[in-house]
Amino acid sequence: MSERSHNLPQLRSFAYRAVAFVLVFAALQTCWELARGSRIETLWVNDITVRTASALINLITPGVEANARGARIVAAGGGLNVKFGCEGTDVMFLLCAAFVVFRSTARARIRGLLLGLVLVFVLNQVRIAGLFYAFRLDKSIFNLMHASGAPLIMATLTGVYFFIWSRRAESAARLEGAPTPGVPL
Amino acid sequence: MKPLLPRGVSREAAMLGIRLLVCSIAVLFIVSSVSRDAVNALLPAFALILELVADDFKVLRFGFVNERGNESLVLMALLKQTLFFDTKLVLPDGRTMLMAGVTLGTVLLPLQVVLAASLAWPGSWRELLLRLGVALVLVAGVLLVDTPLTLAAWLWDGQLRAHAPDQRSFLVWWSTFLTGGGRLSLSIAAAATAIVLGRCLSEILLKREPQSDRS
Repeated sequence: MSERSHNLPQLRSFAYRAVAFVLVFAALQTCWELARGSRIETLWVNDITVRTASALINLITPGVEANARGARIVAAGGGLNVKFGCEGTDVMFLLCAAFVVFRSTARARIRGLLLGLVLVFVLNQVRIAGLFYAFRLDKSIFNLMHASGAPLIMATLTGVYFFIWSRRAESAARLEGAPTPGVPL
Repeated sequence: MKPLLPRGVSREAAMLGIRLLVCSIAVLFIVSSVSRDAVNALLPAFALILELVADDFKVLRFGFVNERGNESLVLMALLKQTLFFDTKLVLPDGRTMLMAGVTLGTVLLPLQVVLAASLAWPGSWRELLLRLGVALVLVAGVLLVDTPLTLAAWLWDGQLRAHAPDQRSFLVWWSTFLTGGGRLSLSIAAAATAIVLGRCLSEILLKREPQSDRS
């Protein structure tokens, strides 16, 4: 990793961005809370998230015959309730906040964010399917994955994506002679 | 010969990705295996914060519960003082038990995120130690504003739903924020801060070393 010298303005810039990251996330999450109970929530949770997850489970194990019923995946032998915190919006908002505070061109950020959101959606589907199988096989694995394993791994993989994108954005900025983003990481 | 890495993915990024994943999985299993002891060590600090933010309630029990293999931290309390809402007065009856709980995995999630990132980030041994020192201080702060406030919010939320459903509470908003990903956002911010400050402190110490010691 290349050495970076840390001076006060850079540290101050980082501090502002770290605080802004949390605040932007809080704003996005508050907006989502205001949409609770609305058609937006039903569309995202019931129609997009749960139905896709049920289809994925039936693709992997057709014999399970999982059915999407509202926010629940119902199947003989045990199903899953996709509740608050499991619909993937938390990691999506974290990624949005990261792209907001990272300095780069708007076009690069939009492209990176859109691709990232697709990645997070796919990861969340894998999370839901994984929790579904874990619940049916071994409750202790489910408990471990549900409380901390799945959020940790999702955040890690999303973080890796953001890191790769940010390094590419820096390289592209350097090639164009533009000022490089000043996050001293 | 085809490159091993996808186009645009540098070796540096790939190595960091692998390190992050390995450290996350390792930290997950290690912290989970000592979760009860870790949370036990935090209980006195949690109890102190609870006393400050939930002083309208009398804590009867604050400890561990194992329900069907799922270990949780549970708070049982009674209403201690009269609560005043807009048009209502709620008197403590000394009987109605209030309960709030959170799984140990949720309690320790900030620790896992910060530890995984701090261990995975490349740097010298000195930088790693400094980073870990800063990380532990920061994650302690996150833990103190997380679990005790979440438990207190559960107690308040019950009262608000029963007696003043239209009333807003910052504590309840904070708990919703934490549960909806805020816990992760604070942990990520703490991890990034630990990485930056660790590097900064390492450079400061390196500059202060006599020239001959550096070679």
